[in-house]
Amino acid sequence: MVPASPVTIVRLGFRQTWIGASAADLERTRACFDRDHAVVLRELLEPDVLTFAQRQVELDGFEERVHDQLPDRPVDLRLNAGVASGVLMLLTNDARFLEFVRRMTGLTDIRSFRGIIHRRVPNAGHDDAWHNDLVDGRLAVLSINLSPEPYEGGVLQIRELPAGRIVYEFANTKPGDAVLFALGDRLQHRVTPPEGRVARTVCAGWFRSEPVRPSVGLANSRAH
Amino acid sequence: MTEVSLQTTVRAGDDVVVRELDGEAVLLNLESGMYFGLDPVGTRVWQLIDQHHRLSAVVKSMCEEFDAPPETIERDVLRLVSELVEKRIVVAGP
Repeated sequence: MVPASPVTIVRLGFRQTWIGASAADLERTRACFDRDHAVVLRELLEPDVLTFAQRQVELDGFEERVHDQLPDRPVDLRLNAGVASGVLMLLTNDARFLEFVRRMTGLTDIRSFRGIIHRRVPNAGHDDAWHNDLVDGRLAVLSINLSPEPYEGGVLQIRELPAGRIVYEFANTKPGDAVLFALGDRLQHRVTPPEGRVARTVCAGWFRSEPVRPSVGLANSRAH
Repeated sequence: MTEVSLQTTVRAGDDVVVRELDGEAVLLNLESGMYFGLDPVGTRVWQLIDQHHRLSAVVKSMCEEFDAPPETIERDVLRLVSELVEKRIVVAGP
């Protein structure tokens, strides 16, 4: 298990993106990402954003999703489009946050983030399979925990190919925390099934080289 | 259309989240779930609203920055702000 950094270095708020890391913090975090292929972003969501998103998730409602492209076609629940998704897409596409992610990952082509909110319920057959996500211009992954309380299981695992050795494991159980992790043709990842009684609800998605506006679904929403 | 004038002051609504994406402002009303995108000129108006609040000051700054007749700028600013007030993106004061 890789320990999470105890330091909060970036936070997404309704009013602004706060970056409180010193140059040394940023350098340490970047080195951590290079070494582990992942880094934990403590308290990425400000408390009022987290509370709003958690409440809105329950209002927007879920529908079942089948991952046809993965072995065994795993199933989970996908949140319907609504305010919860909208506000998180807006905050994660903030220019300062994207610049932070480019610095953390060294992926200078990143221009946007596109994600979905999904839920895995313990003992409901909501499984995952090893995969690499290398489609659609995806460059790196961000997973933000939106669960109402800490869950059990749901461990993110990253393995290196061809040996298949697991090089990173982390259960991001604290609501509001996030994991930023790398993609690559020699890397695969999966999340182990949730256990216990609390469902695992996350906003998970990909930093991409695509322009920002289509990522947040705004192409036809101009007022002026 | 909501009536606004140069004497009107406005501020962002409490339930509105604003971000600039690729230099253009995107506004999300958390209550209604509606997005609004502003083009670069609208984005500049938004920035000046955030800075000055009073629309006379917004129009004055726009006239200094843009090569257009003052009456055209005034009309366009008031029309945009009226729309934003109506959609509860901004709140108008006296």
